Amino acid sequence: MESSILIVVMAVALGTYIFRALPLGYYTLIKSGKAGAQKFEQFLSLAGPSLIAAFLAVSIVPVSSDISLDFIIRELLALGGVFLAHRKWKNPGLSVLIGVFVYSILISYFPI
Amino acid sequence: MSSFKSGLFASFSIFLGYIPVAIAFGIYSRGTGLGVLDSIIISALIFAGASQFAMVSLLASGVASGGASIAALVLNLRHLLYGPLIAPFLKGASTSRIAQLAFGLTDEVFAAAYSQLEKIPEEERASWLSGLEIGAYLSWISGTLLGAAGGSVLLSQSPYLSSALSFALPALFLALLLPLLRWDSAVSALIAVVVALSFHYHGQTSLGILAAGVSGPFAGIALKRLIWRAAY
Repeated sequence: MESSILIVVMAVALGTYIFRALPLGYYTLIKSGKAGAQKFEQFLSLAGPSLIAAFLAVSIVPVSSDISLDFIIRELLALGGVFLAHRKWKNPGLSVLIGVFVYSILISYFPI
Repeated sequence: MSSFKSGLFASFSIFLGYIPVAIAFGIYSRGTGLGVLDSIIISALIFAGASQFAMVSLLASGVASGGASIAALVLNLRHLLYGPLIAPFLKGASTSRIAQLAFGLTDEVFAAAYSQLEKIPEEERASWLSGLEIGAYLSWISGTLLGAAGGSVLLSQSPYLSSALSFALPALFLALLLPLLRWDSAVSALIAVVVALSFHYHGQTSLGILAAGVSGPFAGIALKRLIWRAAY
C-alpha cells in the first residue's frame, strides 16, 4: 500500500474510532452512567428506535427513484415474514433467517 | 454458554448481512487498483462500510487525501450518537474494556446491542458485547477477503444467493426494531424514517441518519407533551 493512502486510511480509522470512543467513554466512565436529567434520558430512550428505524428505511429503499410494484410487493411480503417470525419466536437471528428465506422465494416470482 | 460465546452466537444475523456487503467492498476495492492486502487493511482498520466505499472511491477518482479523509469522516458523524445510548448498559466497565468496545460499535452492532443488552445480566454485558463485536468484525474481514480474492467469480456463480442475502440487513433492522416499539417510540421511528428517506433520496444517507436520530426523539417528546397537555 502506498504511504499516502495508508495515511488517509489511518486518519479515517482514527477519526472513526474517536467518534465511537469519546461519547461511549464519556458517558460510561466520566458520568458513570448518570445520563443526567430526565429529559435527556427520555431523548435517549427514543433515539435508539429512531436510529434503527432510519437504518431499516435506508437499507430497503434504493437511492434511485425507479421503485417498481414488484419491488414494493417483494419487500413488504418479506418484511411481513420477519414480522410473523418475530411474533412467533421473538428471536432476531431466526427472524432474519426466515426473512431471507421468504425473500429468496419471492425473488423467483418478483424478480429484482 | 458463556456471555462471550452468547454474544458471538448473536452476531450470526450480522454475519448474514455483512458478508455480501463486505464481498462487494472487496471487489470494488480491487477494481480501483488496490491489492488484496490493501483491501483487508482498510476493512481491518476502519471497519465502517459506507466510509470505506467513499474513501476508496474518492482516492481512485483523484481527490486529494485530505478531502477523502474529511468526506469519509463526515459519513461517520452518526457514530457520535451511539455511545450515549449504549453507555447506560455498561456501568462499571473498565477504561480498557470501553476503549476496546468502542472500536466495534458499527451501525449493525449498535442496533443489535441496543435492543438486546437490557436482557443480559449487568456484569456480563461487556463480555457479551465483545463477542457480538468480534463476530461482526470477523465477518467483515472474511467477507472483504472473499471479495478481494475472487468475489466477482463467486458472485457470478451464485447470483441468486447474493440477491437473497441482500435482504439480510433490512430483516435484521426490523427484527431489532419490533421489540422496541411502543406508541411514543413508534411516532419517533416514523418521523425518523421520513427524515432519513428525505436525505437518502438526495444522496446524503449518513447525514440523514444523524438527523433522524435527533429529530425522531424530539418529535416523540413533543407529541407526548401535547397529549399530556390535552389530557390535563
